Amino acid sequence: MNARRVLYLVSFCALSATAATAFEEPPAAAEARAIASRFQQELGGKLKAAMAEGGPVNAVRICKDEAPAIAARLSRETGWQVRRIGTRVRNPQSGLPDAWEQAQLADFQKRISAGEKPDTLSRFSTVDEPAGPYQRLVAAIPVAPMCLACHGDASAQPEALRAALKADYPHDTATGYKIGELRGAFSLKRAAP
Amino acid sequence: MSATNYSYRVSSVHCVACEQRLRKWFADDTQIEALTIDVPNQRVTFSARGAGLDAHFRSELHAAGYTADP
Repeated sequence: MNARRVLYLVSFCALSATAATAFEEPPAAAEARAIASRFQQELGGKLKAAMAEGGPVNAVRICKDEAPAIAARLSRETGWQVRRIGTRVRNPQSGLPDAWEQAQLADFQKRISAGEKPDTLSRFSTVDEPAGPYQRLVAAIPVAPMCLACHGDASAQPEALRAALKADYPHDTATGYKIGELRGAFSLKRAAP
Repeated sequence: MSATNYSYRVSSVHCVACEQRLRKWFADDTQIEALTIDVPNQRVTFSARGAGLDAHFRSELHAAGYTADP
């Protein structure tokens, strides 16, 4: 075996070990990620159907009523506390990130600015909280084309949609987004075993 | 209105499969805000908005194949 081949093999082994370490995550992380993915798929499916059926005005109720219902059902079913958080929120009584979530959203923003794809961003961690250690996951929600009808330029919204949003969300700040920006995240937590 | 905790000792809850079965059973019960299942202590706690749900939860536990201890 010549020196070059030995060097290549050593490099390959070192890289493989690094990759294994980088991608090895605890089962709880994979479990939480799968739940976030279910949430995203269910919500996305309902939003698309509502948009097709009655346009954005019809879809407002999906984010307002169906999304919390999906989150509550997943919470009961899995034992994780499941919710969505926003970088800006429609309803300040729900969806505001806590301190740990704010730090993760800020990190996601930095990574997006550095060129990472927003739909690949997530973070799993065990966090010490006053009530004890919690396993936590946040998975980024990027702004998709479908989101822009309600979350894009507010001045471009049809009057009926603006009225519907104003009626449901008098303290709305979640407009002015552009495609690919960070809208928020799916956030899951449960007491660490 | 704050949530009320309905807590039961269910001695037949003894493993993760029991927990999963109960979670699936109660997944669509919209009266429940939070469902805590403490397997080692065989305790099931429903946090729900609404009074007088004791009979409902006992009955549903029974229907799911578990019985709340008296």
